[in-house]
Amino acid sequence: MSSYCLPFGARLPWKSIATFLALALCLVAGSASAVTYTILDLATLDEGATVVVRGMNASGTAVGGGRVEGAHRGLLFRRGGVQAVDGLPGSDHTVVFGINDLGVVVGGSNSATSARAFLRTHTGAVRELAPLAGDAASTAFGVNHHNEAAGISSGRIGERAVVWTAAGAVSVLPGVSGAGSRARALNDRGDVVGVADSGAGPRAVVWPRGGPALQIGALPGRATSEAIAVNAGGDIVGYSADAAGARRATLWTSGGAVVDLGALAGGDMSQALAINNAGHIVGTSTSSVGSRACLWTPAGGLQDLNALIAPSSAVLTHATGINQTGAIVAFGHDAVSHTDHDGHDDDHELPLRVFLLLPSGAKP
Amino acid sequence: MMVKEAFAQALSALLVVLVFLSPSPVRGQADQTGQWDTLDTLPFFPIHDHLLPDGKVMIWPSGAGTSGSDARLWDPANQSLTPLAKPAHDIFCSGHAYLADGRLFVAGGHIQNGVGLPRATFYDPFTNAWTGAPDMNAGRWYPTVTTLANGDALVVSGKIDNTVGVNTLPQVYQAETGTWRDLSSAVLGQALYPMMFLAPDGRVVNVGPARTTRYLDTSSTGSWSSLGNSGFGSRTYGSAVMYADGKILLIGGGDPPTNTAEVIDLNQTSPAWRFTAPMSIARRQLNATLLPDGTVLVTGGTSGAGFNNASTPVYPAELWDPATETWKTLASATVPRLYHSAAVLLPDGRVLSTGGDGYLTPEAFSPPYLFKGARPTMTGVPSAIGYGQRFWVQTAQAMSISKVTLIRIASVTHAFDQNQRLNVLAFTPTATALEIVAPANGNSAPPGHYLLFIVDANGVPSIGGIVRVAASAPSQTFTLAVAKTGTDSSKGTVTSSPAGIICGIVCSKSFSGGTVVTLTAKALANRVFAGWGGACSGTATTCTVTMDGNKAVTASFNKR
Repeated sequence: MSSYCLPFGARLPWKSIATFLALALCLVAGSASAVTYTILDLATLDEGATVVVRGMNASGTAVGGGRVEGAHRGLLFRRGGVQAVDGLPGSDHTVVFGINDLGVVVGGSNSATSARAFLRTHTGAVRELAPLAGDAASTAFGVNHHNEAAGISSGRIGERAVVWTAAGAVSVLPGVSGAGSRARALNDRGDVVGVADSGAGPRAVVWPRGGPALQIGALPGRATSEAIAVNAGGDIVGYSADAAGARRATLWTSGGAVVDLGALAGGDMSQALAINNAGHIVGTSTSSVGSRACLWTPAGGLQDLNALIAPSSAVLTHATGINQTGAIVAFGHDAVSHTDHDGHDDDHELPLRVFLLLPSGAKP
Repeated sequence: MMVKEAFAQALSALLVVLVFLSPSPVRGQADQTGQWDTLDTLPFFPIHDHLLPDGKVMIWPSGAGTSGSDARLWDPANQSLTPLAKPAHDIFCSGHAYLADGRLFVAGGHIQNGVGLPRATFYDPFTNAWTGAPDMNAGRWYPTVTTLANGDALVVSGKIDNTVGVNTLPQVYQAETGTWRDLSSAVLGQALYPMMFLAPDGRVVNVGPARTTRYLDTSSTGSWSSLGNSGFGSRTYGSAVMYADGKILLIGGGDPPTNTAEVIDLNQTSPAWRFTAPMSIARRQLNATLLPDGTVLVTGGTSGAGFNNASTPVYPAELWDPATETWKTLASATVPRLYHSAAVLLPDGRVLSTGGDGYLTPEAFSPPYLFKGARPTMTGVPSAIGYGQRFWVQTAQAMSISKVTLIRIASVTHAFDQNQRLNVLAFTPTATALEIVAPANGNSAPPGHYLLFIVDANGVPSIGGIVRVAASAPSQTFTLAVAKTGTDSSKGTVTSSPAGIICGIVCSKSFSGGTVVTLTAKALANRVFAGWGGACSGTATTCTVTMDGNKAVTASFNKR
C-alpha cells in the first residue's frame, strides 16, 4: 500500500506520486540550497556507549543520554554546555527522549528492577510516569506542549503504546490488540505515531487523537516500517525497510502520500528522524563517503548537511532534531583519513560530537 | 696453519656443542613466564572469534556491507585459512553463543555504526550453513547472548540506534520451538555488551560493566532483582569470567583504566563483591581467558585514558590464580591488542590472540604449563556426557592427575567471551583411567560443547578433548575381549558375570562403563587353567575387571 488517506477521499496510484516526487527531488537535489548553517559545538561523548541524541525545542535544547562519570545519565545539550539530569532517584541508567518548548522533558530511568518513564519539569522536579496497572516497566519517548507524553508500558501482556495525561494518568492507545506496539512521538494536537506489530513485522502507525490505530504502510517493496516523528500538521517521518533490513527514509504526508525520500549519491540506506512544521526533515543517509547527516526541504530536496556548513574538522553523520526556527541538532565525529583496512568503518571508535546548526542569519 | 685450523675447527665444534647443550634462555624462562609466538598474518583483523566443535577457529572481521560477513576457518594445526559460507546479513557487532547442539547462535548485527539489525541467525559448523531465525523485537548492536540451562538463548541489550539508544527488552530464543519469548516484565536500560553469566540457581547475573549488578529471572516474562553494587564503579571495556561454578572475577576497564579486580561467590547466601589483588597494570580493552589449570590469563588492553588509547598498549600477560588470588606477570606480546581484539583458548592449551583495529598478525601464547615437562595424555573422551553422569577417560598418568576441568568453547568479540565458564569436575583415578562426574545440571554447565582437560600435579594439562554436555547421553560402553592361550587353548571356557561372554562362543562383549565384570575360567577334563594375562593376573579361576576402558584379557589353558 503506497498511500493511506489522500485528501478529498481521492486515492492516486503510487506510481504517479512517486514519479512526480522523484522528479521533483531530482530537479532540486542538484541545486544548492540558499540556506547554510553556522555550526556550534555542543558536546563530545564517548562512542561505544549507549549515546542518545534527540531534540530539539524552540530554545535550541536537545536531549539524550550518555555515560557521565561512570553512570548513564540523561543529558540536555545546550549552547554553553551539557547538563546531566537525573531521572528517578538512585537510577543507574537514565535517558531523556523528549522535550517540549516549556523545557519539560520525559524519558526512561531504571528503578532497581525495571525501566520507568519519568517527567521532569523545567524546575527540575521529577515524577514517575507509571506503567499500566499490572505492568512492570514504562518509557516515555515524547512530550507535547500540553505536557502529555507518549511511550510504552510493558508487562506480562508485552510492550504496548501508551499516553500519559499532563496529570500523569496512563492509558493504552486504542486499537492495538495484544502486544507489540510502541509510541514514539506526539504532536500538540495529540496525534501519536509509532510502530505496531502487524503480524507480518513492525508497521508504522498513527493514532489520531481519540481515534483508533491506523497503519500507514511502507514504501513499495518494503515489508516493514516505523514512524518516528510527527509535526503539528500531521506529517509523519520515519523509515521503511526491506527484507534485509535496509532502511529508506519515508514521509507519510498528512494528505496520505507515502514518499520515498531517497538517499545520497552512492548510498542505499537512509532514515528520517525529525520533521518541523515547515516540512523540513532531517535524518541520515549512507553515501559514497559514508554516513552523512541529511536535510530534506521542499525547496532544496535532499542535501548533505556537511555541504551546508563552513569547512569543518567534523563529519556530521546524523541529524536527529529540527525545531520551528530551522535549527538542527546533529552528531558526528572528527574527520579521519580513512586507511581502510578492509572495508571497515574507521570512525567506529571515535568520540561522538554533538552540534547545533543554526540557519544562516539566525542569532548564534 | 694446520694446527690453527684444527684448533679453530675444534673450538667451533665445541661452541656448537655448548650452544646445543646450554638451556635456551627463552626456554628457560618459558616455564615461568610462558612464550609468545607470532603467527601468519591474516587478510583482515578478526573481531569475532569462535572455537568450533571440531577444534578449528571461525573468524570474521568488521565492516559495513559484506566484509562483516566474510567468515573464515583458521586451522590451529597449520594456520590454513578457508572461506566459510556467508550469512545473509552483516554480523559485525552481533552477540553470540553456542547452543546445545553446537550451532552458533548470532543475534543482531550491523546496519551502520550505532544502528543494529533485528536479525538472528545460526551457523551450523557441521554443515557449514547459515539458517535464519525469526527477527527480534528491534535492532541490537552490541548485544549479549547467554546460553541458558535448557539450551535456550537469552539476548539482552544492543543498541537500536542513536535516537532510541539501547534495546531494553530482554528476549529468550526458545531453541525447541524456534520462537522468541519476550521478557516484557524485565524491560531495563543496560550497557552495551553487558557481562551476563548463568548463575547456579538458574538466574542470569549481570555483573558489569555498570556498577549496579542484578539478577535476571528468565522465567515467564522475566524479572530483575538487585545484587548490589560492585566496588570499583563503571568498568567499561573491562572483562569478567566465571572461573568456577558460581564464582566470577571482574577485572580492569573504566576510563581511565583500573588495575583492580573483584570477585563474587554466587553460591553464598548473601553474595557480595569484594576486592582481590589487583593486576600489576591498569587495562581496558583487555582479554581474560580461562586456562585448563583453572587460572585466568589476561592479555592485551591499554593502560591509557580514553576510549581506545593506542599510545599505551599493555604487552605483558598476567595470570591470576584463584587458589591464592594473586597475579603473576608473564611474557610480553609484541603486537598491541586493543579495541576489537579477541583471545581464544585452543584445544592444545595455547591461547590465540587476534585483532585489535588494524592488527592483522595474530600471536599464540603458550602458558608456562607447556614448558614444565611431558603432558598427560588422554584417550577415550566420550562425544557426549549427561548431567551427573559418570564417565571415563583413559590415561597412563591417572595416578598423577590432580584436576579435571571443563571449559566452554570460546565465542569472543570485543575482547569478551559472553559465555566463558569453567567447571572443576570430581574424579577418581584407577590404574589406567579416570572416573569423572559430569556437571550436575544445566545451571552449572549450560548444554553445549566444552573442552575437557586433565591436569597433572605439576599443573600440566593434557590436550583438550571436545565433549558435548547434554541433559542426558548414552552411557559409555567398553569392550571386554577375552583370548584363550596356552598349549591347549581350545579346551577351556571363560564366562562372565554379568553374562555375555562364553568364550569359545562369544569372546568379546560390551559392558557399560564402571561395570565390574567377574570372569571365570574353567578347564575341561585333563586340562588345567594356567593363569590370566592382560587386564587380569594370577592363577585363581576368577578375576574381576572394572570396565573403565576397553579391556583385553587372556586366559591360558594347558594340558595337565
